[in-house]
Amino acid sequence: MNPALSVIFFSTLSGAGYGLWFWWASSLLGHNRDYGIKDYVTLAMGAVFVISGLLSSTLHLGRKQRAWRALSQWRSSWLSREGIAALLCFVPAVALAFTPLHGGMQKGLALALMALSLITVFCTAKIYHCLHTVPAWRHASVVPLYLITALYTGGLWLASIFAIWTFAPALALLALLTLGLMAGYWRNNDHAPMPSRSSALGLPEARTVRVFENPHTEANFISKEMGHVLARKHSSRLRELCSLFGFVLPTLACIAAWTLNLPVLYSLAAILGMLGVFIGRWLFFAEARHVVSLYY
Amino acid sequence: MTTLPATTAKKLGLLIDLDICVGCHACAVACKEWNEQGLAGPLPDADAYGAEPDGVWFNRVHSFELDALDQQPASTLHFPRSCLHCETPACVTVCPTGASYKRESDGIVLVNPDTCIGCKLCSWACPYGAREYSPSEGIMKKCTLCVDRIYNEQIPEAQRQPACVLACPTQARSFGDFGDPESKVSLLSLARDGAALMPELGYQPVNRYLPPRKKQPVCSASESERLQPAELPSALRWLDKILSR
Repeated sequence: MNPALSVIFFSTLSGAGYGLWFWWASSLLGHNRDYGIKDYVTLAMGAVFVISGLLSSTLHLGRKQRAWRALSQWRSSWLSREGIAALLCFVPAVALAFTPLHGGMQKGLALALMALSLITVFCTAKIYHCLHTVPAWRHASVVPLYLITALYTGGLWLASIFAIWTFAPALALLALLTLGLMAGYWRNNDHAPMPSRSSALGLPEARTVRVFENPHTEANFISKEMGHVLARKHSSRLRELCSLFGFVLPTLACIAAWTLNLPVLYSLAAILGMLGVFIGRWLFFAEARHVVSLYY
Repeated sequence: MTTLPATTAKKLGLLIDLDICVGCHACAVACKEWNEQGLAGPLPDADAYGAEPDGVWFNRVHSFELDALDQQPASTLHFPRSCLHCETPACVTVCPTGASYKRESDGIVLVNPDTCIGCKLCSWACPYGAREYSPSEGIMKKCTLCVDRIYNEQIPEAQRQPACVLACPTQARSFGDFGDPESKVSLLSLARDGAALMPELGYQPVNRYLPPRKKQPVCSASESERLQPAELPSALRWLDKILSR
């Protein structure tokens, strides 16, 4: 599939934003506390990630001025549901920012923000998971992978703001879980079951079919959008880079931040983690084979 | 609304005979010509006469080589590919704006050019590559089954068929209602085991493809060169005898 940068920016950035909001809101569930400057920084940073992600996702639309129409088909379309959930998140986020209440009201809003953040990321994953045309995306790891990646990158940013020592072991565990799921997805991607070319052509028996002549001499929309081959050529190198930058180096940086008492290393971990997750998300699109490739 | 109708009154679609398609691309050209104007138009091309022409087509004709199998000789297969007007098209249900829809009256799948936002998700949801994006308009385009021909009372009745069907010089393409078991396309499809493409994906395509008929086994060259004098008519057997001296 064509790895559209606008879509990859959207899902990595807004994923980190929702993960950040999720962890921050969960911190309000315990004992009552007053907001400090760090709370406002967290809320604002989450908003910057989410809003820039949402704006980036509109960049690949052919008719941006009609984007509002995408909120109408929640009954059948995961893309529509995602848009609605993404906007609904701002209700508890804004309420929490401007009405720092204590007690039940605040905890209720915090729970709403946590739930809506996860629902939005869930809808993002379902947009791809529901497509039968890309067999690799039908794998059971796709939805959990999107959710845990959002929690992992959000956690890295929360650690870089609050720099509490207990974050290091928790983030190391999250990194391990995310990388494990991602490795499972990669294994599946290499063996995703494709329909046969005979089935694509309606032939009654399995026959060896080779392309003799393509319908068009130059690339067309279908071959450009669905027939991306660069990533599959460099797949193992890119997977190594994703593992290294996304998970190994951030874990080392977190442990160093903890043991050497150098909180700035949490920020380094967050930046590296985002870079690695970005490579991973690029691979998610670029490596996936669409069944229409059977005709080419 | 992008939710699908529970049933459609008709199931209009195409029956394509892969046995007699010669891969001439006349259907693709006629489609492009008709749909360049009217309801679906324009079908813009970029760099049409340049080094890398690129444009929107609703119909693409592929050519394949089939290897020999058992007694079947190797052969070519010409394969026109266009929208199959599926009964459960995910291209419609994934649409976030309601621009994609399936008509309850005849099952035709269309795009409303006034509400499409050009997110391209429908093209990802189509297994058959039937939808092509028009960068100059910023919207998605697709086969309309020539909806502006088949109901058009301004043209003679015999011509109220999709442009691709009328253009086909070998009559490899037929148009009709697959919902009616007595229709010409339904009967032909039944008689020749008309196939749905990639049925395992669950899109329930309406269009059917008639697979190539079984070919006569051809004997190998060495076999045909070997003369069996006993099988010859008597005059030739005598000639063979004389010449063999």
